[in-house]
Amino acid sequence: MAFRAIATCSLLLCALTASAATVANPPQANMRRAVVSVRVTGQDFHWKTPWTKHPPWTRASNGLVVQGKRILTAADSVGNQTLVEVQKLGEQQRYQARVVLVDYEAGLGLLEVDDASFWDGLAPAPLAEVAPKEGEVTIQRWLDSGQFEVATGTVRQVRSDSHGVSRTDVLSLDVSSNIQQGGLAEVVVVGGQVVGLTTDKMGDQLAAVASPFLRQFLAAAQEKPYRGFGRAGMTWQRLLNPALRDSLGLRSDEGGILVTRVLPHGTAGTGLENGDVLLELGGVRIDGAGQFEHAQYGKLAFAMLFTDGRRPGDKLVAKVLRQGQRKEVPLTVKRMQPQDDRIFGYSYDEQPQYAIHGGLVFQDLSVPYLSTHGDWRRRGPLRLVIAQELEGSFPTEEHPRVVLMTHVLPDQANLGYQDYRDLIVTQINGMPVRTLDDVNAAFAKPRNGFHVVEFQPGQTVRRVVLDAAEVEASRARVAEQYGTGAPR
Amino acid sequence: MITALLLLAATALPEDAVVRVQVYRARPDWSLPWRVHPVESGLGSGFIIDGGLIVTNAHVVRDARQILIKRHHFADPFVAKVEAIGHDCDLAVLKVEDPEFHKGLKPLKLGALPKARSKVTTYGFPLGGEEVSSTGGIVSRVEFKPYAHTGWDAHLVVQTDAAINPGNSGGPVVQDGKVVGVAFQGIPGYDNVGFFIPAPVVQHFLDDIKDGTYHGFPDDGLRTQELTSPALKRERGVPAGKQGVVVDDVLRGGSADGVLMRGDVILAVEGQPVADDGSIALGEARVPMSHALDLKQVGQPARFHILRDGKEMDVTMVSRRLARGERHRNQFDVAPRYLVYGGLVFMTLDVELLKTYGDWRANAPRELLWHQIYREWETPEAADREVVVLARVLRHPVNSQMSAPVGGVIRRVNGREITSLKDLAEALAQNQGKHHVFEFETSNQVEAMDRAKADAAHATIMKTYGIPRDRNL
Repeated sequence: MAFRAIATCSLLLCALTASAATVANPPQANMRRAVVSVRVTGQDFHWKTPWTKHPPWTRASNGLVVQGKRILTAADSVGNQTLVEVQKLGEQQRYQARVVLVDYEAGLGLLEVDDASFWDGLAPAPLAEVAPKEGEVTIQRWLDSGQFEVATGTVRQVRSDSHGVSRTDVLSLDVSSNIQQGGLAEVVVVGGQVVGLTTDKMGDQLAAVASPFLRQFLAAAQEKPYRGFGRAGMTWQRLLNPALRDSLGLRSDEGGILVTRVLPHGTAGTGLENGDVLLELGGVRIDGAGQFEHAQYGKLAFAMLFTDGRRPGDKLVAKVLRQGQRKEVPLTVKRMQPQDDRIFGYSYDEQPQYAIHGGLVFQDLSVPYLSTHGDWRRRGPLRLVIAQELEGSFPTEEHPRVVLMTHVLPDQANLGYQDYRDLIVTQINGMPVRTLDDVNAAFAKPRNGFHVVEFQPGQTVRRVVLDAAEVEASRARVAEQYGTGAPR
Repeated sequence: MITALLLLAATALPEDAVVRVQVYRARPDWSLPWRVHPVESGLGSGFIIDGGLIVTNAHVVRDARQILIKRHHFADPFVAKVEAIGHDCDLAVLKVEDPEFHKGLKPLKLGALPKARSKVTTYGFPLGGEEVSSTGGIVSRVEFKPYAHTGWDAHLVVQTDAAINPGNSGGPVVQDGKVVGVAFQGIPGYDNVGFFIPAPVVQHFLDDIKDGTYHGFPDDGLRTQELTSPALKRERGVPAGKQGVVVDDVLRGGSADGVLMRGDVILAVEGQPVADDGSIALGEARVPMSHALDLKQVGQPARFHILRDGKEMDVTMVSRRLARGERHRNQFDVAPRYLVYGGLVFMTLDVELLKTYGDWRANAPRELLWHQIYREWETPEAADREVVVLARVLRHPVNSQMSAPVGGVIRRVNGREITSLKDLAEALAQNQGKHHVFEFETSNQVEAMDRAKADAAHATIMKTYGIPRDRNL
């Protein structure tokens, strides 16, 4: 508690010093030497036929030169990349870059350039220790023409937010600006200091990762191995209704939110329980709306307490009201990778896993797969959409994944089953199917010369039977006819 | 010569037995369950059978408050009432009390299932004129298809190219002077495709209501898989030369529950061999096996010849109707069930509640869709549970601070498990505590309301929001 208070005070002093310096004597860091253009070519996987890829794309974005001859950029812009190139100082020459670290949950990535001559004329810009809560900012980048653009914007608020595909809340900056086609890792600047890196633009609102978190990320990137950032991993409910607060036995001077579902693989899973009222985290009081009072930025969502100054593995104490008793429970901050979910929300850079047996195609249920159904939230295969919404974040020992038979590649071995698709698999040859590995293991053990695949009840069909010898005979034929290559 | 003349007399004027049915209806509003929508009127057709009764479609007289019958060559309409109605087969029988109506009636007789390619004539009052109209066509095909009226049931259907248009509904389809079907639906946007309810289904309905009560068609609860997979056929051990279908799943509480088992191969139904595509012979036509089970009255036995664990055997099931099936059907002639307390409107989950979401498969909460569609298969032990949903919040200071999830399923109230609207009413009435506590399923959300304040506000809320009764359990 005491340590926390002192640390907060010193941060506050820094803030005052920084803003005083800005007014009196703006540091004249030359942003032209710190801002670079990034050009990414990439190719997305085709999740319906996971052995293939879509046509490649090329997108322009931006980056910021940081200490140690590295370039900081937004994570999403380098997802599924096949070639990353950078340009500097408005020049036409392209240098090949390598992605040395990308953390889609942090929303950030780091590039390196091997050609030493690239760094000539470049210099890192200072990252502000404190993000501005208000006031004018500039948004800076190189244009295709070779000119340097300095657009203006206004800080709307500092808040806790996640970026791109991420679910992890980090300190963020909302900026109003009429910049054209922004949100591609442009650099947000105040008084010669970088205060943010943009990640998205909706209307005239730019979302940016705020500089204190950029600094945290750069520090984390020095570690081997990289540990990422933590996340709460729970659903919760506000406690603003006096009748509910009273029925829970909460005092009027307390805040608190109701923990409704604890995810097994997040920070909450290390000590919280469904039905706990979470009153404090690491000595910081959480109000009934799930916010806490930040020394610099005022009210912020409590989710940020898991990333603001904390890293995976750190311990913190939660004060809860559990079954009428106020108690302290120790928590350990945990990183939550998308692949840890039962139905993962996104996936980059790795070929989707699949299995094919007798022309039946098996895959993990995932949002990228559901997305192949177009307007999937409204029109996708209903049982799968229900699974994603109700159970997608909740892996269990029994159900770490949802394994699907996505479709059938018509072949002699699967005659009669050509039209079956999007079925949740429960068992194969009597063995429970928890993962794709189980599918492959089960297909190695036919029973009485047959393979029996069983599906969750209530779908189109519960059971299909394949002849084991025909399944073996089909392998080369299916690979040849449908170009599936050799699946794992 | 005499026979020919008599035949002519019988076939010449079916239009004398065809009536125009005008209906004024009032339908409840499931989004405000205490309310009834403005009166609507509708037109349809019907025909007279023995006893001076009128057969028409259930959808013609659904939610009727007044029914007027116009006879051919009679200037004044007659008031009729619904004698029996079967929404699951879209048929109804009406009765006119006025003796004037019954003078000189020439009832039509029910025939048999018409053959494919045979000629039929439809009679009725399609929109666009006042007089009876007839159109000719042929029987295109006989199939087992969904009946649109309830959105859930399926029975035998005959497709014809005779024009069947709005207003034709309930009119007879005639062949050789006998009624072989009742015109009832088309496919929007398709010309020359009309459907009628064939005589065997009409006969089933008429037989069913003979005791004065309509019991409905049985629910076999059987999901079968065609034996189109040679591997499946071998694995099931079906002897060479035999055909059949495999029992893929059996629904809890359906007629087949406890009689047929997953994996059984059904070789014959009621002595009729079943083909690998699931069809049986019906006269010259082939119809799905389901038709043989569908023709049973509730309580009648149905015999199967099956292959189980390599042995052929006979089993018999008693045809049953699933009470919980109603939640899947469009509802008519009933008032929505609800309970209003403290401005919270609770309703039971059924397809009518889902329809308040518009395109409900796309828009309704996923949790509700799971309960509606999948629960009875995935958790058969909970198949019969009635799901209580918080359907709406009528804002008042007693509830305005609540963040209760509208569209959420109630799990417990005041610690009591809620498996019906009646449970909820009791849980609220019996609570002596300071608060009512509502626990929601799936989201695990909890909300509470001050009991004394809610009780005190009850009359005001009812008055403010114009609710005449706080419940219809």
